[in-house]
Amino acid sequence: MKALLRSVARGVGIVAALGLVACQTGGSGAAVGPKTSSRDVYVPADVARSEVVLRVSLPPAADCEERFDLELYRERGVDLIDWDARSGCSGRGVDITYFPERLPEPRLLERVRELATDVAPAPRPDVAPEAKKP
Amino acid sequence: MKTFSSWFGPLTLTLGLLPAALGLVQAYRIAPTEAAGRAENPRARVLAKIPDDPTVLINVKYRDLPASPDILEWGKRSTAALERCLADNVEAGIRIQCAVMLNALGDRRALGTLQTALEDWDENVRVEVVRALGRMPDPSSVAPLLALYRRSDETFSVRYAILQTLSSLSDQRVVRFLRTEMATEPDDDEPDIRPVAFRSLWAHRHLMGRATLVGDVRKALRSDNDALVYEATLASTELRSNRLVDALVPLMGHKREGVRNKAVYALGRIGDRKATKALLARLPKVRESRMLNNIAFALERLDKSAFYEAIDDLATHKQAVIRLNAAFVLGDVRDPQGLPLLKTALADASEYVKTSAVVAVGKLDAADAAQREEALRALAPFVTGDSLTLREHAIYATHQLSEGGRLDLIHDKLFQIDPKKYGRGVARGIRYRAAMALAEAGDDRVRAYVVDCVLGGSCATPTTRAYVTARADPSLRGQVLLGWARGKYWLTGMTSTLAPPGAQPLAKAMLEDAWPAPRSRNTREALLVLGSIGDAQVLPLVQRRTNVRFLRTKLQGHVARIRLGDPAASDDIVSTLEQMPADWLLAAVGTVAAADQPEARAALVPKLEALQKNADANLALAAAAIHLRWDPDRAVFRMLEGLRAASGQERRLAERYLRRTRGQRVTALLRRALAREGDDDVAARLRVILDRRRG
Repeated sequence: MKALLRSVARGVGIVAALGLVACQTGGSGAAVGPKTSSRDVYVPADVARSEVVLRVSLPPAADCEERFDLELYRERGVDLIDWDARSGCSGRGVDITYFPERLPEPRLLERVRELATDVAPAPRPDVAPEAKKP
Repeated sequence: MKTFSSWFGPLTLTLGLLPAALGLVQAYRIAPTEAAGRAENPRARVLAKIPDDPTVLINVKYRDLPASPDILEWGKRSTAALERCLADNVEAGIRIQCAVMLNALGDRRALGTLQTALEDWDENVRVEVVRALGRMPDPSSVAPLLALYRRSDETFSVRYAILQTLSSLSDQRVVRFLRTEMATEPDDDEPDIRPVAFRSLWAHRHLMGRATLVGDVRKALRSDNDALVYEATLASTELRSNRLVDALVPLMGHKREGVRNKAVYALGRIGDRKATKALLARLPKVRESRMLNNIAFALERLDKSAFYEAIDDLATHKQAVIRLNAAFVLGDVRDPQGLPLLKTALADASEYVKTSAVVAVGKLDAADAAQREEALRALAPFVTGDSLTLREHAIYATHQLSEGGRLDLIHDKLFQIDPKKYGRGVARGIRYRAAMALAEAGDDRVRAYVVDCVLGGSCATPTTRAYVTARADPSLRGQVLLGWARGKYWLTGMTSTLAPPGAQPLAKAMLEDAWPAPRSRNTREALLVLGSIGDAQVLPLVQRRTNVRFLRTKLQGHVARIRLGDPAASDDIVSTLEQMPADWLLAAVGTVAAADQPEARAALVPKLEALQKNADANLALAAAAIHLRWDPDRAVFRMLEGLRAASGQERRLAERYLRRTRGQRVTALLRRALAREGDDDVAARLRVILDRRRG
């Protein structure tokens, strides 16, 4: 009997709590609590990183570089994409730092090929020192 | 005669001494007053008492109130006196000043006093008090602000200020209130406050469900208030919801140019192909270049084939201004697919259209050597043509297409232009632009020109300064030092980097010379150079200079100390930041970030990391902004935390600092954050920051 009463009381409590939440949100159509499902996270400097240096051509667009970055960064194994100081979409030098434990190099290159119109290995991009500075 | 001669001597003496005697009397009468004036100037007396006597401003008259910047130099040590001033001074003008200063300070200890002062009898005091509450957002302010707003006898200006302040409070009660206000039609005899209510509601967007938000924006887009419609078009660009398309399309024909343009821009950003037909239909009716460009860019995003069909018509339009803009758009799109149309434009009768086409060809992204050759061949006739304007643009376009490989053309045909042939004024401009392009490419042939213009201050940009610094010989170092000593402060950075012989004694002398004026520019510049050169011999002098009450000089001095190898300065830097008015923190970030030597950073970073957790968002975000300049990989996460903070004020501050912090690395980190962000609101804010950094 006690167990039954406890169960009923718990049920009433839950209903009351739900009611309270409904009251809180109902008036303003507001969302309660964080909506976050994912976000970027800091990876300590001592986690192993590798880099590939490439020369790529991207589908022409005013914001071709940004479009490429936004797609490639979806791969959590990519740490940083560092472009040469030139502008434009073709023949750009890019230095991609990645976490080989999470993203093997072949998989990374495959992804780059999907996003670019032309990809070739390159010597380290000719980047002006001041442009590379944070 | 004897009698006269016996009187003559004393009389002459008396007459001779009379002026002196009168002077003494005068001095006796005046000197005490002047002395009192100097020693006991009422303003100076009041100012001196502010940090220790909270009652000092209660009975002060307006003429005896010290200037606001002088009071603010006490920083948060002036809060108590300003609170009492606001509560107890009977002159409304003074209470207004005190409320304004409490706002600038942003010291949360004043919260209670400010809330009480919402009952002030003077309307203008209430306005300033309401604004100050926005600087220190707190849930306890919501109820009194809403109660004040609802008073039937409250004025429009106070209500307006309340709506603005509510934008900082981030509270569900505020969301409900603002949505009700938005839904209420204004009476005919009352000003329409819906645009400002909408702005405040938009500041609460992180507290609202997306569907509700989109619904509210849709409603605002259909409103009869132009200002509200404009606000809603801006919001639509950020929301990027397909549900807004049908409300935005009719706005392309709105009577206000701003609304028309923002509506088109929003449609392009939303990227819903449903809008293509409407954009195409609008195109022939366009009457301004900005609108034409916005439509073309929107089409390019939505439907490439529709874009090329439309741009084909525009490029061959009867009106030159339309053909000119078509060429401009083709250049910005960068697609070599536009080259045939641009070649047609290069043969246009109008020189303006030709110029626009030449520039556009230079921007094209040639995918292979054949495409590049074709573009270069199209430009070739203009490189040697008669028109000077076209020639100049064609040379730069050729240089750009050749991936920076035609510096020879820029040097020979532009930098060495003959002023006698083209006129001194025209030649000067062409030569200047050529020199800047060559300097950017690191070409030594323009060294003398660039040195002269950097020293003269007419082209002191970061690029030219770096160019000159990299080529500095002993003679140039001397010239830089001489220029700096003569007050050319744009040379401070170069003086610090080059550290010419004699810079330290000169900076030291400058600091000593400016000793009676601790707030002077000379003091700050001298401290900057002494800190950069880094010779610890001057440390005692710099330490002495920090013994002033002036917070900005103090901070500059502590920064110089830490750069000179005094790690104890890190605590003083933090305590000075804590004392500073919130208004000054934005500038303070740059001052502290200058201390970028590894030892200085090692001493400061742990303290800044602790400060980043401070409950005062102004202080926490300023600390994070300093850290961001030194170690963006790590510090960017505090900024991202700021973007998703419960407080709208913190979100805005984080946005502001992220927009201001330059550098390719920060851009890369923001793109990474955007690609991985799961929260719609944070993602939208990141997108806006990235767009603004690019623009």
